[in-house]
Amino acid sequence: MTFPTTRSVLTVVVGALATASTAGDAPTKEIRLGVVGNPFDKPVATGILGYAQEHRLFETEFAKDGIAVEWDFYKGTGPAINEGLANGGIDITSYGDLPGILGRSGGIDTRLIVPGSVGQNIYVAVPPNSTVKSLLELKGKRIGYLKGTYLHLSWVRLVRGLGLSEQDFKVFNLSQTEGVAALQGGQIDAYVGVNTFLELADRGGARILYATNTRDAKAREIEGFGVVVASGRFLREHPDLVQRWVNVYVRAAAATLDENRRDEWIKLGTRPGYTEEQIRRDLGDGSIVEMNAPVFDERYFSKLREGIKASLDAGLIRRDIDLSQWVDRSFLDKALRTEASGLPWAKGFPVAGKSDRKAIVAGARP
Amino acid sequence: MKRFAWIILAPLSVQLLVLLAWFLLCRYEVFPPTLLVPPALVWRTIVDLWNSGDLQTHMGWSLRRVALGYGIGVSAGVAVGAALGSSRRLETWFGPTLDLFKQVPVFAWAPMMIVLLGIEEASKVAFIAVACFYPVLLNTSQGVKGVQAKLLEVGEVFGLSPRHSFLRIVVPSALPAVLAGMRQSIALAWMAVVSAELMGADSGIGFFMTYSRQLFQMDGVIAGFLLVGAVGIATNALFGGLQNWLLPWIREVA
Repeated sequence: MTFPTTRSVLTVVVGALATASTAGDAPTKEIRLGVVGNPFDKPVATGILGYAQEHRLFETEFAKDGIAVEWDFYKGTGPAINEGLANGGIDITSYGDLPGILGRSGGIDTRLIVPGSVGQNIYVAVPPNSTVKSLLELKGKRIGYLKGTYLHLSWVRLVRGLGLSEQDFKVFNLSQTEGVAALQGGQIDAYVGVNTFLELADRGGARILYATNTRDAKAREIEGFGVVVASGRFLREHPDLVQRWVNVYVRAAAATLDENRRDEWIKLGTRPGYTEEQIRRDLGDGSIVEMNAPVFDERYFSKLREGIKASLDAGLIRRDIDLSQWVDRSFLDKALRTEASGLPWAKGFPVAGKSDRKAIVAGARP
Repeated sequence: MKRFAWIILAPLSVQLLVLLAWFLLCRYEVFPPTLLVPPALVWRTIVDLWNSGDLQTHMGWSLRRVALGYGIGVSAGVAVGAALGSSRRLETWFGPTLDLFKQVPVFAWAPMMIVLLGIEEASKVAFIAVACFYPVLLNTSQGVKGVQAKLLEVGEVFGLSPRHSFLRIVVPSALPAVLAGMRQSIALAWMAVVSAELMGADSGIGFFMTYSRQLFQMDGVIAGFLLVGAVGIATNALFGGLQNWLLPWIREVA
């Protein structure tokens, strides 16, 4: 209550403000990329980002200005990336639909600059000796998944189709590693995870009750998608860097998205430690071009709108998202003109899963 | 009267200062407002949680777990403590083993509890019970050991039966220590339930905090934080009252 106390409080506040404002004016020395961690804990990305990382495309692009590119892999995946974005530790990130929606709705200043891939699979696994034969039989049982990830939203879509909601299950927030242990120890009745369950099932450690890698119409409704977002502050302070980053990203996409070079795409998927077989089966007969093309088209926007609506309906977010405020397509549209002109996918697709794969293959870069 | 006012006002003024600091940190956005949510918004979240009934549900689950785990842990602690305190031989036999397990931090018990008892209620209740067991055990055995031999001798002179000597002499002498152990344990029980729920649960206030964090609803995290603190203070005050009521001869200065 004494005067020195008040003054020291103010000193701290003013000091912090001063630090914050000077930090903003300094020229950027690095671009910090937030990347979703993998079950292998390896600091390597997959897909388009994986290609860019492997060939050091971002590093080369920015080296001439003395700007380093930092790849930070978040073990806590999407929810942890949101915290990184909120505390200013990430400039650009590529993560799942639900965390992106949660972050934006929760007030994080992000701009959606590039669509992530659609067609992110989920696998619902049960213990090998489980007698459960259908998803409906899981009602009231113990289910594990990592909340706030795309798996969470896909699970919500899946059970909604059965006339159920998340509240009809006992849900435990478990990481994939914890989930596998809990599943095998009989602590939970099912786990919702990623494609590592394919291999676990082969070894007899689990049975897959449901998976979206069938790529049928129903699966395409359940599957998750991704978003590539930039922090609003970074975008306002360095629009030029964002543009160059997106250019490189589109260049990487142009180099990888080709149905005739599917094997190379699969190789990119194995970088963290997944087996080729795993990636191949995860992909199913899905079109790598249609699922990964970075284009703001009806295919992507219909997914995005549905994802936001599903999150609202399930009570996962409390505030709707104004897409006109969130999406900033200017960088990508420009990049597509300069880096991907003439490529058929750059024109976009009508709706996910409805495209004719043959047409895409035929239209691939010669 | 003057003293009483001071006891209320001094801590209140510090709490108001903390609130003011929180408000200022938010007002000047020293931390991102999405992470450190302003007090008014957190208050609204608490009100919303109350109106929707979620607060009562989660709090209800946590309190239920605490009641069960605490009940089991304290009963076991009193029983074992009294036995060890009154018998040299029992203490020689079992004391060192109990001491061995005491060295294991309570949080290290959690994975084993989950493996042995499942991820649902039993492991949480057991976890809380273990957390409550040792302080009560220790205090009880000390309390029973500390009963003055003189008093027991006087009882013998007056021809008290063993049962009467236990009820009239041992219990009142050991009670302050037992209650002190119980009071320590209630605080530990409350900490244990929150951490058990943070590790794996589908209900309870600790679960609510994890869930809010995963969904990037920091107002929920802070609301949970405050509610956990408030319940802790309330149970502690309750115990202070209980001690004063049961042991009127030992007036405790809060």
